[in-house]
Amino acid sequence: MAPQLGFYGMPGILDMPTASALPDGEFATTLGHFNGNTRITLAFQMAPRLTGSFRYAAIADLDDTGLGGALFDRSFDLHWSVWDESGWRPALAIGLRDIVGTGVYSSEYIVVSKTFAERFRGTIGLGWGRLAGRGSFGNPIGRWAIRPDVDLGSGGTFAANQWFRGDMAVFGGLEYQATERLSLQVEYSPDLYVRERDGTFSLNSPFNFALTYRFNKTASVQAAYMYGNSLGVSLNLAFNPKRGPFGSGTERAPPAVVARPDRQNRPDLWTPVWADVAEFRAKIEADVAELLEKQDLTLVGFEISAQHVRVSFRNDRYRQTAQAIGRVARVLSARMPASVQTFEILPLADDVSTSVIKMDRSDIEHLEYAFDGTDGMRRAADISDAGQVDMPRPIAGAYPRFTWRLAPYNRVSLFDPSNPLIYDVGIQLSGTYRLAPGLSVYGAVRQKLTGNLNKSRLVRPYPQGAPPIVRSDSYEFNQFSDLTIERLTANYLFRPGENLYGRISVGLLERMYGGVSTELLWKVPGRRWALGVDVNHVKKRAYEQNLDLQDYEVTTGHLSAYFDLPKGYQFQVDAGRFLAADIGARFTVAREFRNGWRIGAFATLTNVGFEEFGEGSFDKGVILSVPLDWLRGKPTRRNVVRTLRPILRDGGARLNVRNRLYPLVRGRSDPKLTEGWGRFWQ
Amino acid sequence: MRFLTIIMFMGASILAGCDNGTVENPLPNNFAIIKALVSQSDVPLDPRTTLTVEQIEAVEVPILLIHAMDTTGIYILMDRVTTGRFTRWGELGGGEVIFDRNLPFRTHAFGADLLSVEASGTIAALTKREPATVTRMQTFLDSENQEVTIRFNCSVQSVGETSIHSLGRNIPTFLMREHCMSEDHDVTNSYWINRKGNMARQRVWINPRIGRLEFEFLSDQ
Repeated sequence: MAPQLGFYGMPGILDMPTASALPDGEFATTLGHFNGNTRITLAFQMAPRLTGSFRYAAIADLDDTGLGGALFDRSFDLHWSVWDESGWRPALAIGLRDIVGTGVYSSEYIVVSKTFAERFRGTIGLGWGRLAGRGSFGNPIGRWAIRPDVDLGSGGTFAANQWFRGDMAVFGGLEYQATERLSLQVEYSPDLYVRERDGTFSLNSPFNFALTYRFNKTASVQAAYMYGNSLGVSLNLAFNPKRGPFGSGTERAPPAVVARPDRQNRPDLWTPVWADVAEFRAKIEADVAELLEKQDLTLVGFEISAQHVRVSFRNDRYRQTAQAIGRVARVLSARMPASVQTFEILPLADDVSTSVIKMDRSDIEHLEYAFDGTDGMRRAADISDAGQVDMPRPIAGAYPRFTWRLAPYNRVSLFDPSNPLIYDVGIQLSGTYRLAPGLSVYGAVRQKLTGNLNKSRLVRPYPQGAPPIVRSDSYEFNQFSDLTIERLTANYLFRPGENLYGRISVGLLERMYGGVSTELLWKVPGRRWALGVDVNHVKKRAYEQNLDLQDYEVTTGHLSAYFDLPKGYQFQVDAGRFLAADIGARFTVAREFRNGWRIGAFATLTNVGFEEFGEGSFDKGVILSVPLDWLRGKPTRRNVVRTLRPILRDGGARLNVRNRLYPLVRGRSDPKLTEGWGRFWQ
Repeated sequence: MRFLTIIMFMGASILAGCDNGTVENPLPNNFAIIKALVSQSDVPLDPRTTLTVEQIEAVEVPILLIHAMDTTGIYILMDRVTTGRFTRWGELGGGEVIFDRNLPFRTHAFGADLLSVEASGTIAALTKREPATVTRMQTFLDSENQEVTIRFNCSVQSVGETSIHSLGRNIPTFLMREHCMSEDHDVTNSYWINRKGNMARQRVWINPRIGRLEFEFLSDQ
């Protein structure tokens, strides 16, 4: 039986959990409502046995802000599937609800589930916290008999000393798969909804009943009769980043590799005399630039001799650098005179060289139609750091060069304490003026067309001893509907040495800050870790987002360590001084799928105390990055990136600089380059 | 890879034809083809049931028809280039299929594209029209850009003489079937070979996402 999502948006029957798990990598959104309780949950199967979720709930008539209306609550859950069902053994899972929220849903459980007679699944479990309501009994472990009262204060902290403590109660339920699409559920819930009963909630029975209709693998709807007096409905949408709607993509086929004629039959075509004719070399260069343009690639540097060709190029189209390299190799095979035997291809990261890929032309010709041609080509190609490699001479027109883009933008704030969805929509005009290799000026202006971000507001006062206001006044920046300057920076990216990358940015670095930002990255190709350091001196920008600055200024900087762990897991630590001059570290854990999906979470702990931080106690959130090519089937390197924070405060706030080096470089050097090599011939 | 692409290509063919004053204007025939291809229904029409041999020949370029049997799609490829034993067929929308001695070797723009196929044993059995036990390997890209290789053990069998109906006529063929099993898959490929010894039609399982594709060389029967 397929795993079911309950009203909490996690593996469950209705309100009670089951021991099921979602398929690895599955991403599920649930919108459920019954009796004044609305829950929106984003759940993610982070690892085969670990499910995590972020929930935004509205509970009617329980407002604690003094604004009237509902209580808006944000919380996180974890569900660990200890083992799967096997033979007679039921599946076992342990879970924590509301681990770092305000504790509204705080509870823990141990649950087992077992399928029988093919169409039935029974579940029984023990619950603590709010799950230990009706029929609760004492904890048999003496030292855990008392569940300590925890002053959650502003919420957002782990109350680990509460977990699995105090009274416990039994819960359970039964699911019946009536048809392929229709299933029925019944459960017994010990949850007494004590806090909600201060509002409009009432409860007549511990039994809940539901019908679930599954439209397909993606969508299902659940209609329920809850707690003996109310109807409920829950909508589930699930998808798996591993299964894209367009599979591996539907981009245009690449040009064919053109094999050279046999040297013995056509020795005239193999003569290198052309290399001495400047006009001939210029014609080849122009042809290569034109052919690459047809592949949406930009030729930047070109050097050719009788036997070698070196090209550097910019790739703003293909997510996998290997695919762009493959297309460059095909173009070179089609246009290079027969005597040119080796290709050196340098993919650029914002005009800075990352790797140099050397390949023998004969290998390209022989392996295009080989069964193991992809692996064969990777074995044949020599990939190394390009830090100390002389760059090929820039082609005519490469510098200076101006490119621009006019596109709609949206700025969305989800789950704001005052409103679950606030947004602005408008037009952004951006442009890059490339002056010389690595040196460019970037600017972006925005004109808001519509939206309600200006209605966001600070709903809770600053606590005593709060750090300087560096982010929590972001709503002030939303009040202006005129043309605003999003960014305006002069940037210089360079390679100071082997395995080293450097960046200097000056100007309006982000929407809220301007100044100087410098960064140095050390990344050795092939190694799964890298180190970086950034130092920035910035002043806060005027709320109008023009060229003016406010008085607040700070020097901020971090030492960063990046780890690419197996199976797409990433870990990053940024330790240093944050915008409010607080000292601490941000820890980020993420899972990145090889098609560009990235889902992660971060937490920032600094010397700003939990009380001084205010609601939420410390900075934390969820990062979601969706590749547009996954959605559209056509190649693009663009992603839609959203950061969901329970609340934006001032402690642990970091400068949001464009073109940070690690994400810029990572995909264009090993091991990431080789991981995407499957697309070399695509 | 959309039906519109076919129409656009037809349109491009018309314009190209109009430029050449020495060639009879193919507009009426092409217009009929376009009219036949355009349907009010969302379900694509199979040109084999709506067009005639004369209309296909009027296009004056070789035509390969692909019917995606499990994902419901009809594609027409017209651009053909042969290099050694490999033939590339392309279409205006950027889709492409490369054949190795008339058996699909690689696809582009179908999603979960076929990267390569090793089917030398099958090709030999089809050439000889003799039963054989062969191995077959197919590699494709999944949604995470990872290569997935399926290794099949196959049995190629002669079924016998049969006819296929296409473009309003019956074409006598010799049918051979290839039953392939792997750890996770059990598939059957079918090959209809015409009296010239050419592959008239074939129905081949590509991968779990694309399913079966039916290929028919409309211009070479």
